Amino acid sequence: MIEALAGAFMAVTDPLYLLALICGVLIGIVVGILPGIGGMVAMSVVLPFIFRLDNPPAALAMIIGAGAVCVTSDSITAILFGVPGTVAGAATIIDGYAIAKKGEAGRALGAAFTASLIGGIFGAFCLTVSLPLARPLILLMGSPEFFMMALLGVVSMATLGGQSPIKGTIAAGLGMMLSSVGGAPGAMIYRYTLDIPYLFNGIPLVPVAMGLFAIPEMADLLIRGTQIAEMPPLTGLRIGIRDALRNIGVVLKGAVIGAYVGIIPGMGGSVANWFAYGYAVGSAKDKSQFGKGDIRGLLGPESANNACVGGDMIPTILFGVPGGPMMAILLAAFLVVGIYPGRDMVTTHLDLTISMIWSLAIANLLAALICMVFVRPLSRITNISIHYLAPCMLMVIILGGFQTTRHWGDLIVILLCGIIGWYMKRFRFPRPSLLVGFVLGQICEQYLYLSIQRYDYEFLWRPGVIVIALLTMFTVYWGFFRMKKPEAGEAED
Amino acid sequence: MRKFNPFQLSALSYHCSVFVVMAVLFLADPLLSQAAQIDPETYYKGKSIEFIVPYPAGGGTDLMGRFLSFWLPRFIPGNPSINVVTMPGAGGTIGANHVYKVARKDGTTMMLGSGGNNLSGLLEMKGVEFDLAKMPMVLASSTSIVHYTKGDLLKNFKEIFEKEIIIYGHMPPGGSQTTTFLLAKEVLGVKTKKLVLAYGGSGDARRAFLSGEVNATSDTHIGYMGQLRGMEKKGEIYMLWQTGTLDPEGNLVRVDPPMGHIPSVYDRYIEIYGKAPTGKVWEAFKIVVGAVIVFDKSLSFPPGTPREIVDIMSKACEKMIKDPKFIADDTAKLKLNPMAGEKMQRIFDRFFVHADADAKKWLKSWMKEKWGVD
Repeated sequence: MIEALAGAFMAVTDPLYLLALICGVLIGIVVGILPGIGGMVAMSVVLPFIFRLDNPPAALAMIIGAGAVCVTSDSITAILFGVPGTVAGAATIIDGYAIAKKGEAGRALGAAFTASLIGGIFGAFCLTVSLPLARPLILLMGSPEFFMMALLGVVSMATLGGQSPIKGTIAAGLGMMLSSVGGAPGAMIYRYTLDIPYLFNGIPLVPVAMGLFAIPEMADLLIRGTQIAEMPPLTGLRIGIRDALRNIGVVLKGAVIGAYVGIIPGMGGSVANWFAYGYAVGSAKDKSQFGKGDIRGLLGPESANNACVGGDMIPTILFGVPGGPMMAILLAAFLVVGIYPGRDMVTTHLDLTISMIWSLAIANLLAALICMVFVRPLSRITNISIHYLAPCMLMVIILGGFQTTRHWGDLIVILLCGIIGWYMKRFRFPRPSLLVGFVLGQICEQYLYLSIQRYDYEFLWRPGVIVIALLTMFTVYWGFFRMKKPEAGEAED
Repeated sequence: MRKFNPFQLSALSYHCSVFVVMAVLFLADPLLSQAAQIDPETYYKGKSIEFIVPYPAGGGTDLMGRFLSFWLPRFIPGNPSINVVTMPGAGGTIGANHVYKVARKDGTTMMLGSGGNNLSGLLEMKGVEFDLAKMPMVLASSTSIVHYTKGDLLKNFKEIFEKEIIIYGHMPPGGSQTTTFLLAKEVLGVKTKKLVLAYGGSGDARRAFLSGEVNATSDTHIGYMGQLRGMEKKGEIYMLWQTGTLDPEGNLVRVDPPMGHIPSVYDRYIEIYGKAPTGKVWEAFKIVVGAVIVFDKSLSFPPGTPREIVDIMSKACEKMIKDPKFIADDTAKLKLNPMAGEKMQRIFDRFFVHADADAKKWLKSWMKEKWGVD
């Protein structure tokens, strides 16, 4: 252990390592700011560079740095424009953007970066602690438990995510239906594809998220025709940092949710941030300000999406199972530097694993500091007239959505989801429920299929399944009968 | 009425003649350029080649593209640059269709495809509009697959012919590893208790294997060199067989190294039945091994690319894979097992261009009727 720590320390004090990490972080920050695209793109941008970096810790630092910090800088786009910077940062919009509209963009940014920093460090901490424990824990769970957890996720987003559990259920159901377009998880059968090859792999996530969240926001801004913030911006960076520290409980709980969701294979930041938001609302005594600019609605998701990266890395390192979508690229990076995920990572390659954890922590620290430097100039953007801002934003939004497959189908998906999103906003259907239903629908279906193939319907009697099922039923009961609704639960203004 | 102006007429005739000359030049242009000698030394000078990868950025095929974009230009006369363009969708079909139908045939567009493309092309799956047999291939990278089970599950190998004990888990039918398993099972006559076929990939299936959800799964040589080798030494896993690979004569042989000690499906057949396998099921198995193992990744041109251009690239690939520096870099990183030139061409001809029609037909209907691969 001490040898490994010493080895890791040697590795991270190497100037090449620091240079690589800083390059990765800078790329990650820029990609995070660009609407829609996130860790996956940032990591695939740096992947070609690590071929020529014959220093495994430095190569991995670069790619981890790029992937981990997108969820720090994505708050900039979410808070200033109400447009998701990454899919994992969409929940930040609800309260973050509401605060920016009041002219307090600086405060919101300060709070978001602080929460990101704490969440990121917590994620790295989780990774450290769980290395010896995670392996047996993950092996205890099987496909039936993963299915039930995904189902619990959908149900809780449906019933707790919006003002009306019925509208939430309809939205989540629509999301699950959309997720069933394309190839089935268990067979080469294509569903609802209308023989259009673009739909064979299913509808891509990024254009859906951009359409649902970004297009309605831009449309409403253009209809209103002013600037984003009515008042001149206050800097308020310090107030934001203080806000985050005062609500440290919300930040830490968000981090726990993020790390935990991260560990579950296939689930990443795109659901973690909504769970954390739901939890922040659910656990607050005074819910009246959520959606109108409650700082807690911003702290939870921001902390969760950074912590999620650490959680995602656990099954990736221990089993070679991508913990979230972007971790597939980390696996590719492992191949390039010549290491294999598995037990060796906590024995022979422990030093490398420790250096990766440190990279994650240092990257989060660097990103938060760099972003904080730019709070003042950034917060002024909210005072630019929307007539100048909207065309630029729309262009970048569409490019961000388009880059997933670079197929014209992406543009149509953005447009259609934009229309759906605008109407949902108008009629107060919770868009997050649709998005989470869309993401988890595929996971639900896959694990349900596996459970039945393996255990038939007997999987329903497994103890873990029963416990999660009871929890799910309780969630439904709570959502429909007990929870007092906040005035504007989902910030649809 | 306007007066006749000879000057105007001459202007008209001038324009007409210019038009005619241009039209002739335009029509003759392809012929002229066809006729023009392609000089291998200068053809690619200053040009830039696009590698269309029909899979998402950051995946295995994209990775190989990035790797080649560094090495291959050094061996092409004129040192062109190579850009990797990912065009994902429909399991690789969108990109492959694009290269087959739309891409330029002047040697500046190539496809870096994978076994998935080969299999969907071979089975003429939904959406496929390309024919790989018509696409000149210049480089291939092969893999190998091992199928394994728990170390304490079998007392001896013959048991899996008598009792239903194997619970195999991996990706859906149509994926390379599952398809080779199902075919090997068909060839050998192995019994299974259950097939659990919806895992996300080898890592996911290995997790299920370790947690006891399934008791058999598979992995590639990369996975074998990682975790499996150690587990095999400790007796925690038992290697059922390796799919093996094909030699230029069309025989199924073991992949060596790193798994030369693991019997191939051919060896297992002889072990059980005492004679060499024959027949259309066996031929179909070999066709699939060709498609997903020998040509796990392949670099090809659009159909109709001039022979001279294909030759330039083919020679460059042959030079590259013999270069010690390239070999060292590849061994340390991707372990591509690259193949080019005549050896590759012979396997390509035998299993792509002149694949046994009966076996292909059987394979198609078997995959469709038994496994729902449409």
